[in-house]
Amino acid sequence: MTKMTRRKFGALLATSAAASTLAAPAVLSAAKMRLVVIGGGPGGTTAARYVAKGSKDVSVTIIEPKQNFTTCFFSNLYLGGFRTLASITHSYGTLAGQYGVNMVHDVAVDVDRAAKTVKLGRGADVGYDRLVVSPGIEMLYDSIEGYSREASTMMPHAWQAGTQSAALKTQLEAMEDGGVVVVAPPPNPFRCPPGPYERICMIAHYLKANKPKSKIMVLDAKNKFSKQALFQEAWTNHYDGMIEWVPEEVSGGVKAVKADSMEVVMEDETVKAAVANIIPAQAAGIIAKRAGLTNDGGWCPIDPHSMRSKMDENVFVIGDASVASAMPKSGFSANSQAKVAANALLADLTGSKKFPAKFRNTCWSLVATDDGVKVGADYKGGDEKIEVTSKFISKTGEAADLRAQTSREANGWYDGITKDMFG
Amino acid sequence: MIAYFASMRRSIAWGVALAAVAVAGLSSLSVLEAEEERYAKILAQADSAYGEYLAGQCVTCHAPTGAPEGIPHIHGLPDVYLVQTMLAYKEGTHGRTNPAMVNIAKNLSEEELGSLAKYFSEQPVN
Repeated sequence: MTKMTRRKFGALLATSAAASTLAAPAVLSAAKMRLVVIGGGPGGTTAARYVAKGSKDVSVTIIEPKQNFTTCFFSNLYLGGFRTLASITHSYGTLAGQYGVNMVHDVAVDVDRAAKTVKLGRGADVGYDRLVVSPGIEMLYDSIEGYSREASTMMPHAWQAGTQSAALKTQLEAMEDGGVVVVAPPPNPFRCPPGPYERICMIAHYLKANKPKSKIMVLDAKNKFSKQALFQEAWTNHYDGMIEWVPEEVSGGVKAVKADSMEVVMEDETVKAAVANIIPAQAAGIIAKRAGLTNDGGWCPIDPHSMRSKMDENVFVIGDASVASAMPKSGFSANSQAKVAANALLADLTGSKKFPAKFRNTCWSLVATDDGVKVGADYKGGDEKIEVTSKFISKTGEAADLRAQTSREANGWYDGITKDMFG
Repeated sequence: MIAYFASMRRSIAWGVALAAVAVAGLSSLSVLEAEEERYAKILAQADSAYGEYLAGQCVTCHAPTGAPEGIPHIHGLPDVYLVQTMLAYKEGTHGRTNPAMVNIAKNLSEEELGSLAKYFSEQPVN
């Protein structure tokens, strides 16, 4: 997969010639710079792969408990019946086999930044020269009274893909026609701003075909949301009468849940749900907090030119956990930030050239069969934070063939980003 | 494959030239020469290493291998064709209107899009 150029081949020969003069292989391996990456999602895999293909002189380790990774992006399409879970689940085999990335399937439980070590769940310490922290999000179960990790098996958030997604789909398939599906989108900031609203479309798509007397009640923690005009157009065009969106200013938001009786409690009203998709408030993955990388809001401040932590020059934070200002928390953003970080990491570790930080994000949403919409922007490292250079969004009332093309683009992007992550 | 793109490139270049002749009544040769001169100038200042870095933001969508769906493959395309296409997005010509690509192209300097074109043209076609 990686291309062996004449120049690189020469460099390897030079390395092995030098190695033969050294006393022991252990000396050589100890001399390799060590990059450790916490998290095997869009940020972590991309950073690891780009550093690994950028230099043979850096050893790259990913610490990730999961053996296989199910992408959160496109998991709504699984709920709608457009994708299987298997089709959005990926192996780390190519990263390990072709890029030489050392996969450690364990939990990173602590970081000693003074000693530059990561403590693993099974007790060992892993030393690093540079650390990438890309842990994604932590669910703040306490943000809703009565909600908890246990309650989430009955009222899934499905905001981390895999078993949670499967639980929500199973419940949708088991419910009787005529029931109420409650979707409770979280307060800002949260992973994937258009996600809850694409999900509403996908659940409605399933219900329209299978349980057409059912309703979706959206109990939002906010008064406006991403791509709002586009989603509301889709709800009218494709699912008229099925979806009721209740903004925070009307309901006061979800105050409590009772998982045993499937009740969702607001200030003045309680709804009995057939299925309840409760998405709580979020913060950076817990390891970021344990490592002392978070601010008072629970997210990690970074240098906008490199994604380097403002708390520690040897640590980079990418993806959902970072304070990326104008950039939304998305898999695309994490992948983009990882490449800026990889460029800076290679400059740190090998002395290669550091280029100006340029970022990009595009979020496609499928609203119905052959009907896709998108929003996106380019970004740069600004004086204090990541800044938008320009942006675009799909328009309401677009022709059907354009919408069909946009939905095909989303499939092309999925193929592209997953190859960019996993090789 | 290369021959196909080379012939496509010639036909696109001639199409541009002939359209310009129809509108402005210029000599086809001078328009073609001006276009080719512009692309050559852009490619002359291209930097593959910078192109490789910038390309990171392209390959999130443009996969290097597999059957393309909705988003075309760009690895291994001729540099002149890639420069011409990115300029069309940047300048809003030749019916290139995809808002994602227009948004990207307008943020790229001629040096940057030339560097991208050089880098992608040097990649293997799979």
